[in-house]
Amino acid sequence: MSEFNDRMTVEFDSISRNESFARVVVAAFVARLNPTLEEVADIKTAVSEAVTNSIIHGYEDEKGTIRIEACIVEDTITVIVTDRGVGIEDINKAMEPMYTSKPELERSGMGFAFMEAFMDELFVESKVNQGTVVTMRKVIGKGEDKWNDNVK
Amino acid sequence: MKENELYELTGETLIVNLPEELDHHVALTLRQQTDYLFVSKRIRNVIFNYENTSFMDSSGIGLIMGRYREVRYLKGNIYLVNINPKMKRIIEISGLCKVAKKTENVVSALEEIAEVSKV
Repeated sequence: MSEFNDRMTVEFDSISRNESFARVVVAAFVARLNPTLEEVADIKTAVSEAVTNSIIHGYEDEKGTIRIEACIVEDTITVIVTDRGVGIEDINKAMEPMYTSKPELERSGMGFAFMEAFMDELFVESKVNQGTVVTMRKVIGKGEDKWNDNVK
Repeated sequence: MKENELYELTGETLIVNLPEELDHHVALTLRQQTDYLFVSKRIRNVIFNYENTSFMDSSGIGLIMGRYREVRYLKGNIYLVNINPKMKRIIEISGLCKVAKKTENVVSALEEIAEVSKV
């Protein structure tokens, strides 16, 4: 097994254009673990969900700063997405699949469900008016690449 | 992203050739543009073409669910076509496959729409 011990931090403004930036940065960081295409896609989706949540819900489309810290310990990547936005009053409710506090924005309410489905562990900590910290963890190299070469 | 390449209208069917990545940022634009088309044209069915798409998150799901609600007023349908394995997984997990019809490509979706309107 490869033995890496690495970390990185990025900070960026809470604008929707940065959603793709955020997921590409984390995907590039995890590349050193030789993840399968499926694992990379899972991480990109999870990061995208967390960052989109910070932009729409945390900062409610106002200007703010989002921080992503990622670290690799052996075969596990941990991604921590932090905002200093409005926070979540009821985390259990927010994490219910299909629940959204902003249906008028056509939110599907699947954000946390996707993070849970695509990562191995998910922790959410939040304080009203202080912000939210989403911690996600995934072990790389558990499964075979189910897509093989058929992926477009 | 040129609009005429992104959208095609044949009869009452709108074909949306989705961009490479469908996230919140892109979904905002697509929602505005399709909303405009919905009020200015009579649209009964929407075909979402995933041919060039390799990324979609829950914002993309929200966009499609929103268009589904609109076509249901006219008893139309949503079709998802050219789905690659990556997209298939998201579509299945999200339950989108329960409300939208999946066909091989744009031609087969148009054929199915023609069949439905005959009945």
